[in-house]
Amino acid sequence: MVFSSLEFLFLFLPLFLLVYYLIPLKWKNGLLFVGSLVFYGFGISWNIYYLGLIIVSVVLNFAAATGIEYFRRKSRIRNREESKKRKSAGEKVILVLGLCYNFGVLLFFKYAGFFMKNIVLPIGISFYTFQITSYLIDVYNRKTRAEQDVFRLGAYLTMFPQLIAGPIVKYSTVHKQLRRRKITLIGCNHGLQIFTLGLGFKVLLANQLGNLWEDIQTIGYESISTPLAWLGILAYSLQIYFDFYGYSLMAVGLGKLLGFQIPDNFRQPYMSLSMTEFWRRWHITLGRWFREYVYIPLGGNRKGKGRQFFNMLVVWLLTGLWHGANWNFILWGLLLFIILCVEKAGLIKVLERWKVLGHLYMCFLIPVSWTLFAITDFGQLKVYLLKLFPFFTQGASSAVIFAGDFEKYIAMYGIGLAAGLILCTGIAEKIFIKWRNKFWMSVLLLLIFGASVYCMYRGLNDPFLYYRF
Amino acid sequence: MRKYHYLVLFLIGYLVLWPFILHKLYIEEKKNTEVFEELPVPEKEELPVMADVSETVSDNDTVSGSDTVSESETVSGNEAEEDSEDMEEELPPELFFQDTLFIGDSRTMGLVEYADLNNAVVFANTGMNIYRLYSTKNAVRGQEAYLEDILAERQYRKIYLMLGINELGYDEAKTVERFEEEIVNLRELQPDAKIILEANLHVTAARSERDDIFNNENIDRINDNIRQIAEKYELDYIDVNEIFDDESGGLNPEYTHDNVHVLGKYYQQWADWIRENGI
Repeated sequence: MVFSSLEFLFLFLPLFLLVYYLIPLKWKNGLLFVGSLVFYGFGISWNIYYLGLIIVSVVLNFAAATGIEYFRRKSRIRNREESKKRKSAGEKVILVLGLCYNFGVLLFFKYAGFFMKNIVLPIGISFYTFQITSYLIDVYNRKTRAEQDVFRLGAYLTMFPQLIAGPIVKYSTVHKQLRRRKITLIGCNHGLQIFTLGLGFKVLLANQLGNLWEDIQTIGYESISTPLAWLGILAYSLQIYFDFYGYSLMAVGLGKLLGFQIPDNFRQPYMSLSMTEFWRRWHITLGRWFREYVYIPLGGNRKGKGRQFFNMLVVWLLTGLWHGANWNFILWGLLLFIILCVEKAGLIKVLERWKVLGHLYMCFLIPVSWTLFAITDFGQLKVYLLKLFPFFTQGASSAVIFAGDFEKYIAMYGIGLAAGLILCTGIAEKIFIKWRNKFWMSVLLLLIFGASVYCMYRGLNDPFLYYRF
Repeated sequence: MRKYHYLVLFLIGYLVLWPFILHKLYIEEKKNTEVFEELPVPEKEELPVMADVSETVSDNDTVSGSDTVSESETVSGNEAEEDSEDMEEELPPELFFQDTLFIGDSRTMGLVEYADLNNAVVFANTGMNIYRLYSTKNAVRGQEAYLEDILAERQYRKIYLMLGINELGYDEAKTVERFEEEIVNLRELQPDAKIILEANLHVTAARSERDDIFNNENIDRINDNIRQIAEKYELDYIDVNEIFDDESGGLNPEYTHDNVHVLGKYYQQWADWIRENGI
């Protein structure tokens, strides 16, 4: 079940919220845990093993964190500073076992695909594994206390707003809200507004732009013209942004409806002047996770330039791998690593000084890096890159190219593309924040909601439309 | 109040929508074969031939019964041989589609965009179906016109028609009846044209399995109906599935991305196959 489905909006959500608001606070976490499992169950078509997997993850990590605290008490290191540095063997063993289990399961499901074809990834496992390991490591490092209530930890991990596509919320960010949270009408109003905005981005914009990318794949990369290739990757770039951003906004909005403050995941990344900046503004919670749990523990930038570049390489290879079990993601991670190194070596100063240059540079790099991300097959990737850069096409394929393809798709998707380009500047958010309490804003948002529901109702949401043949 | 009027507005709107959506989700989902109201068709006169032909062919029908695809292939094969005696065969390939009209849906759209049809005229639109034949404009660029005008413009030598997949959600008997009417009408409007009915391209086995409507069983059924109409009016019938099917009888997954259309680069093969067949 995704947020942009009628089942979620008109069945799960109202029923859940109704019960959630009526019961007293002390039962809310339990309901959130159970309700989220129901939500997850729909998403995995009630695959009982996958449901078991997430419950086991909660119980095991709950036990592991409790175990770590138990051994810490036994080791009689009372001094807080000292206990941050010196760990007893018991603490270490439990941490290592816990991490092995968490990452082992993730690796098994995610990367078994390198060797076996028929493994289906449990939805959201990349996200919840990262969340629960952050909890375990934080307990080990004494950044947070172990949770005393297994339902509360369950509510944290499975919380349906962020369960299947992030943001990756750290336990320490929400642990106070898990105990005490206020649900106010103003908070609900605001949450609903943000949710509507996200829904609009996803349904009205991302889904339509996604159709263009789908059309291009239906034609086949051999048969598209160079302008259409650029148009296609532009559409993909906008689609992936508004899809993911919209989903993250919906998560934040739903969080507010439940009384949680879920962190922002995007800050107009396409307005960045460099790749370095881009990755501080795109999927912020993931970048933060890698920084905190990989880059800094490896020494960050404190062990000399050479070591810093090595640490960056590790982070970007892992970031690539995290996104998927395909070699193209590793290639994509490597490309980003190289770009970031070049920027660090001095380019970034130039880009930040001459802003126009920075924007032009990003206008080129964003779509090109997404090409590597989008196309998982190396042979096809080569075909597409040769379409984007047709300078070396001596041995071009003989496929017929429909000469008017570019104009045809501009006519079909021009409005969506233009809207995407305008909205990725962040203008909608500025307008929204400024006039959030105006009556006309409420009417506008209601129109967005209505239009989104209409699209879902008509099946526009469904990539396989009737009457598309 | 000012601080949360979106909440209030939203709740009102939501409560209004709620029953409609639930109705859609849990009542309409169950019955997905809707019969669409008929669209106005240009007037047609009763053809005197019709009764005769249908009588003679109805015998044939009982003999052949419900044909399998392989049988329909032999039918088209035979006719290809007969045609080879015709003058047409002597036309050079670049003139093969001279004075030819293609009518179809998105698959025919692909054909005009990604294959070289020389100067054939194409009338096609994504989502075209037999019910909308005269109410939908041509989507081929530079030739945006209604079929009525395209037919009135001149007499064609050959007319290829591939329709039927977008009709699968409609009532089958109605579709077949309508299909036949339109063929009769077309023959009347273009008496000198040789009409060639094309079988609808299969979808892949994977798509076929998970779709209650657009699956190969239904496609084969509509194709069989089309073949029978072709027999009844002594029209040619060709089945392109013979070059794109895999051994499971569905569209070969290697030829397609979306499980429904062949990739751009394969349309040329399709056009060449029509030329080679000589029909």
